[in-house]
Amino acid sequence: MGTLGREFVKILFQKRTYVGWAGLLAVPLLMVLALDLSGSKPAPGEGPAFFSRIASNGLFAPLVAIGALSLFLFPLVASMAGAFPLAGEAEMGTMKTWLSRPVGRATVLFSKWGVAILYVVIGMALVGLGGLVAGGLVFGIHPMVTISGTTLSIPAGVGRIVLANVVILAALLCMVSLALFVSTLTNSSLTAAITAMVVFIVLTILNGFSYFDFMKPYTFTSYDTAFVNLIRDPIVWRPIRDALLVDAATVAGLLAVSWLVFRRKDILT
Amino acid sequence: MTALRLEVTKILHQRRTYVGWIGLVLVPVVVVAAAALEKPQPPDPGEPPFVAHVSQNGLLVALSALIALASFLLPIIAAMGGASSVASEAEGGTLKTWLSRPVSRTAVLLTKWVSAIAYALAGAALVAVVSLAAGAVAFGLHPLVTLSGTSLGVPHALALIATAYLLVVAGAVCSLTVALFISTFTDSSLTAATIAIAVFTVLTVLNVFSTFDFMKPYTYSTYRLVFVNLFRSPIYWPPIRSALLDYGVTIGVLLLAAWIVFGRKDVLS
Repeated sequence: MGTLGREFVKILFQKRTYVGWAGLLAVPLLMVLALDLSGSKPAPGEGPAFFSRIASNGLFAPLVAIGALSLFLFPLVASMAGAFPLAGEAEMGTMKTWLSRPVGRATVLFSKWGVAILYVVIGMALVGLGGLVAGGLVFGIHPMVTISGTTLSIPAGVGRIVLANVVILAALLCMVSLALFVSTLTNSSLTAAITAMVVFIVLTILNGFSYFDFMKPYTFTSYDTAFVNLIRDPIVWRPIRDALLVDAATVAGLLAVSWLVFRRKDILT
Repeated sequence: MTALRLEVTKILHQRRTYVGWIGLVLVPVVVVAAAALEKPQPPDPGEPPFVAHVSQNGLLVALSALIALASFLLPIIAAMGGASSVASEAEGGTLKTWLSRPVSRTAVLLTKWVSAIAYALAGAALVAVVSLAAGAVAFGLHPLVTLSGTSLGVPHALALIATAYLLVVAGAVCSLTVALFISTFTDSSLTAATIAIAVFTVLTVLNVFSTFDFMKPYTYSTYRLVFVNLFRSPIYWPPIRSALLDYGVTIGVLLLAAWIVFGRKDVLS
């Protein structure tokens, strides 16, 4: 925990950290503002999932924000978060210093991974709270009507939104781990982040063609709408379970290869 | 000219250069493979133009690939090129060395800018060549049916496709210049690239909401698919003209701002 704490202090001293969080927080606020200012209400089915419901219930604002962000901006932030902790040390020439202390390489690697996750989780919390407060102030918080037509009490609705965030977080952990893995292979944080994003985009494009449907069950990018099933009543667990299984396997595989590479890496800076 | 050659050599000695190019080239390869192997399907009305009939004409492969490039990949690759130019010298601690030579800061900045453009242009050219080659092998090159229903000979269509690629590169140069501008006041290439990509993404999202329609004529993200107008008969010039005007202003202002910041910057590494 001591190592993770120190890593967290390091990211708090970087300007980039706050730029990322501010950028994420701006999305739910701008979205609610746009809806409030626009005279015409969006038609059902227009825009991101549940978008048309925000105007009648502010409780949907955090859900729509996280769902829309999970398509591109959050993976980008996650790959940045995963790429920097390890490769950034190599860039600044502080990796040797780090490893000259009595810590195992596994501890270093996992504390870097942990701090990246912490960064993403704080970002998600900001988006959720920002959406809830802005949506609540502008449109009011009402009991949530599910896709199945039943009504959930406000605390139950908030619980579902938290669960949706957990499902999306699982997919983002894949991005964090992917960027971490690439950052064990290179000394440039930019290379690691961009490589992770290129992999993400290519997988997304592959998912778009039905010929490549056979690989869909195995790619973490194909479950980007799994969280929607949490807003049914009762919850349809099957796609969510599949998503979590694939995410867990992807993260475990990537962490294992990262550890194999980093354990034996020549540290030159 | 020597300075430019040196910059290009530097780029060619970085692994991420090739990661970027390979990521770009994967797109047409995937499009061709999917279209060649997939069973013909009824066209989906939501599909972007050209994609539905890709298996009938190799020329359409180049255009389908261009749609994917314009929306995601090329802005990312261009942002990476623009960000790494100044900031990665700062990261590597070589910016001081650069500036101790008898070159002006203006020349350094412009050289970085031009070489980053060359990188993006080379990537786009690579995609064009690979997609035309793969398309020609898989489906053959046939006269192109324009969106207005008329038919264009293969050489004429090739010239239009080349122009379309140049238009998309011009749009990506906006992202590139955003990244260059940010990289003049941070020493981290990752920060600069991430901010540039985030700006592009947020602008793209804002373009979707009708409340923000007032800013549409002024944002470079609005015009990312403007090249489609080249494939009408006669070519519909007004949107293309406004796109070029917008790109010119955006790039000019950002470049000027970058020059003002970099001209007076304390170079500490």
